[in-house]
Amino acid sequence: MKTLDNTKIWVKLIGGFILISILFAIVSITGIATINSIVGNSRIAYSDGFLPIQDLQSVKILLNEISRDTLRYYFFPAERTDLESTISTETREINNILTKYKASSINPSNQADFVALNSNWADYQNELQIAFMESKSGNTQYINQSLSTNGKLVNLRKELNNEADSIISGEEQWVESILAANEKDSANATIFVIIISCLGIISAIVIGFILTRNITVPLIDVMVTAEKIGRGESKARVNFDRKDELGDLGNSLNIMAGHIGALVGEAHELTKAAVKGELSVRADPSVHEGDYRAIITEFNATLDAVTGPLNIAAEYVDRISKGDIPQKITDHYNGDFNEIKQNLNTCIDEVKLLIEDVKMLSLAGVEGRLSTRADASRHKGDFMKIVEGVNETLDSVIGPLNVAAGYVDRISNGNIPDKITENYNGDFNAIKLNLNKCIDAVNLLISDSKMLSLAGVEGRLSTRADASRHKGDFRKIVEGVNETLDSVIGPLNVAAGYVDRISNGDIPDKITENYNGDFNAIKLNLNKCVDAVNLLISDSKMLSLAGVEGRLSTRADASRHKGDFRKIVEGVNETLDSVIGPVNEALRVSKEYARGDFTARVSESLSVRGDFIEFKDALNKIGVELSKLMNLLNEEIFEGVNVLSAASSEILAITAQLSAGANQTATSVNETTATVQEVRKTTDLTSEKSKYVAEKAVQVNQIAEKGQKSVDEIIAGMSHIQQQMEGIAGNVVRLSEQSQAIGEIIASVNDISEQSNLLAVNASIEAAKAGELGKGFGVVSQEIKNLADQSKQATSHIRTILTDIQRAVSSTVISTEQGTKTVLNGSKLSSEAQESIIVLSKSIADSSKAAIQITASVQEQVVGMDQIALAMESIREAAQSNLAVTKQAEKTAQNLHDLGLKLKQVAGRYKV
Amino acid sequence: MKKGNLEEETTSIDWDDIKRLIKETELHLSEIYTHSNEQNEKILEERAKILATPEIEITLIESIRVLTFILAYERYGIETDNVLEVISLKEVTSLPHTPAFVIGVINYRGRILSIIDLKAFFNLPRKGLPEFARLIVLSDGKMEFGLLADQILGTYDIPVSDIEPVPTGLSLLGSRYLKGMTHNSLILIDSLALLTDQTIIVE
Repeated sequence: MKTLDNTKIWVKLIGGFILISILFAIVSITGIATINSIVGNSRIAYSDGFLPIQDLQSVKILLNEISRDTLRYYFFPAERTDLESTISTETREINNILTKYKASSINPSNQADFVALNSNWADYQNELQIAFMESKSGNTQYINQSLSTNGKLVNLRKELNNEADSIISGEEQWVESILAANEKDSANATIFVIIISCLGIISAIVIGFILTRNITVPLIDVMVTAEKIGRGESKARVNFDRKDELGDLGNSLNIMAGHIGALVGEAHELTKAAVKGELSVRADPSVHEGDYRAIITEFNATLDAVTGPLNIAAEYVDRISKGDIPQKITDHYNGDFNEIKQNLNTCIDEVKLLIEDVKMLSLAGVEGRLSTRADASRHKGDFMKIVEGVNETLDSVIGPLNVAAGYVDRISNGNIPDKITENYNGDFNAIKLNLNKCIDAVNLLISDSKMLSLAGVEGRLSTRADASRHKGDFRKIVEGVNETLDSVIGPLNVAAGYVDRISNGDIPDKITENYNGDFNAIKLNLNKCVDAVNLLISDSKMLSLAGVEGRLSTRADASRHKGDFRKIVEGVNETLDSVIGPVNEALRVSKEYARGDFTARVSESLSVRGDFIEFKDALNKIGVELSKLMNLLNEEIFEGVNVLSAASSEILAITAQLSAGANQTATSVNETTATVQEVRKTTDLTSEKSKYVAEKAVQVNQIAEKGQKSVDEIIAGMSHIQQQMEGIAGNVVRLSEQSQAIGEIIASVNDISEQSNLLAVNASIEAAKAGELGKGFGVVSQEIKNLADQSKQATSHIRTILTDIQRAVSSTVISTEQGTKTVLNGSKLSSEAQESIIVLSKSIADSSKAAIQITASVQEQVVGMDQIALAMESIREAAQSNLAVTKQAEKTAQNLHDLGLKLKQVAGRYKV
Repeated sequence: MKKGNLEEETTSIDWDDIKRLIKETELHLSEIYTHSNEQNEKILEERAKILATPEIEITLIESIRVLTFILAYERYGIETDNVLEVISLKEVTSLPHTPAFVIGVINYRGRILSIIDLKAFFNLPRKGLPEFARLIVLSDGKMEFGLLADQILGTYDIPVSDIEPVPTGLSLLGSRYLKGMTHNSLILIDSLALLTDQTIIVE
């Protein structure tokens, strides 16, 4: 067994196959030899046995044909030439066959028969020639003898047939003997082949089993180990000691497992380091070979590729968290690292943006631009929330601040606002409450000072403000005002009382009370005033008394008075002096004027002053102006009368024109009225027409409804027609079936008539056999035969008709089908028509509505026309009254003219 | 306008006329099949009268009764003496190794009857088995076989004086089976010659 293990596999396999091949070669050679010998024998049997048998059989057939043709040669002289050639061909064929057979190897047992056949064949040919000659010469006797059963030709043919048969049987025996030998050979060969084949099969099985086991057992071992290694058991090894290819395979597998184990160990170490976070640990590729080294190198490269970006990312995140915002990463990374890079860049951008906005907001706050806000939409996520929060905080701070500033501003400008009603929180609420308190206090102060000033204006000097209502400095202000008022009002009241009495003419006694300062000066002045007034009163009393008594020369002593009081007295004296002279002169002039002499004037010698100069001038001017006026009056009146007369003439002309115009207007109005009447008539006509149209539209609408109904009926009728068409189709099918049944009946009737025809013939035959007795029966049978013939004719006639009917039925089917289609088409068309009519009726309804509306508006138009006619009538009347008024105006103008003339006369009467 | 046309089209078919025609046809058909008893009697009476008229017999003239039939478009006759019956041929059982003129055999009233085609026998043009082939059964008591005919015309009495001998010059074989010809070229076959013929018997 060990030797077998150590032998190479190819040697084992080739040895086994060679052994089996040798056995098969033996079997094949034996079989081929046997088959060859059998085939050789068969060929001999075929060429020397079978072919001659066939030839001799055909000789027999040819002989038969010759004898038949010979008979025909006798009986049909017309065909003799053709038959001669046929017979000679047949003879030649027989000769050929015989020569061929002679050339082949003839069995010795058949030799004698073949010689006899040849000689007899020669005789037969001779006899045939003789028979032809005789039949040509017309020797019937010879021929009848020759062709009779014991005729020479017949005998020769029989002998030829016998000899051919005996040769055939001889050949057949020979062939059979050859076939028997073949069978024996083949049986022997079969047994030999079976034995050798069995040997070959057994040895093949044994060798195959041993070799297979020897190869498969270790192979399975290798396979199991490889599978284990494949599953990851890198410590699995093959355990057998062989020197063939399988041994080599096992060793190679073990080496491979070793390499894989080393690689796995390396990977394990690296993973451990990575888990611990020692990302700088790398494997040593120089320990491995080939692809394993490449794997380790790539593994290291992968770790490098991962840790590089990770470190950078970690550093960036660290810097961002410490507030040191780095520049964007510009290095290029792949895949997920690129994503990390982009995310970091985005983070940097976002943070930068946030810082920028916060800076901007704080700067704005410092500069007092409290309305500045950051744009939250520029940020994302929580950054957006931060910016929004800052914005909201600013909103909540700045709103109340603005309100407070506005309020303080308004208070300082004196424009006290209403209380703040809005709601604020915390400190803002305190500000709000303080502001409101401030407003209340100021308002109270204002109201009190208003009250005091109003009281002062109204003279209610005793009025005081309630200081207890105010607080702090506001209370002090109010108290000060109150005290000031108190100190002013005491002396004022006394002075007022005195002045009041003086002015009322009740001159009081002098003030004896003591006052201080300014108030004492007031007291002395008041006392002086009382003295002066008293003196004045006494003088004026004296003068007035003299005036009343007509003593116009009486004068007061002015030296007694001081200041203005003296002036008053002097003035009164002068007044009295200046009044008396002018009064007298004025009296004289007035008397002259009264007499109608407007040339009188005040004497120039009279010295007058002041108002008296005006008085004198005025008196003179009255004269001058009156004389001027009279002159002017005369001129103006004359001119006015002239103008008046011209104007009245003009008025007369105008009134004439006016009356002419009025006349024209009246005519035009009449014409217009006529036109309006015509228009009214036309409108009436239009109204009638439109009414007619509306009626027509209603009628058309009704017609359309009718049409719709008709179309509905048509559709119903169409479906009815369709049903009937289906009924017709059913009827036609039934008709066709029935005509088929009729055809079958006709066929059977035809059969019956045939049968009766035969029956009639048979009857007549029977009647003939009966002789004289059957004669009557014969007549009847003849009659029956005639009837049968007639019925046959009738059936053929019916068949023709039936064919026609069938054709008609077919055409009816086609027509019905077409009809059904047409009906379907029709129903489709009528539903289309229905739709069109519905549309039509809708539009007609619209039209009728429109027509009705037109009628209504025409009616309105008629009313309008009537109104126009009425208006025209009133215009006409107005024109006529115009005419009358114009005539009156003419008259008035004439009167005016006359009046002017009269005025002229009146004016001439005055002297100027 | 359209409406009028439609009406015209619809009225172009005279339905009343059609109905009348159908009714008449129905009446006619019912008349044909339901004869009243009177009518039936009348018809039968007429037929009886026709049948009752005595035939003018010319007994002086000697005649033979022949069955006439058509064979290859030619009229043939055969004496009824040896004719047993005429039947219609339905199925033929072909026989191997028989001469061409024997078509086959049939079962005729329990007996085997061989069928002979005279067209083959007389070298006449053949047209296969006709649709309604008829068989004339011949018998002389000893021999019995059927002759194939294309069509049976009927039986007629032919005066002996009408029969002429077969003109010389006909083929040797043919003339043996022919009895003669009539003036209207009806070829008479000698049934006895056929029944006793050696060729037919041998085969």
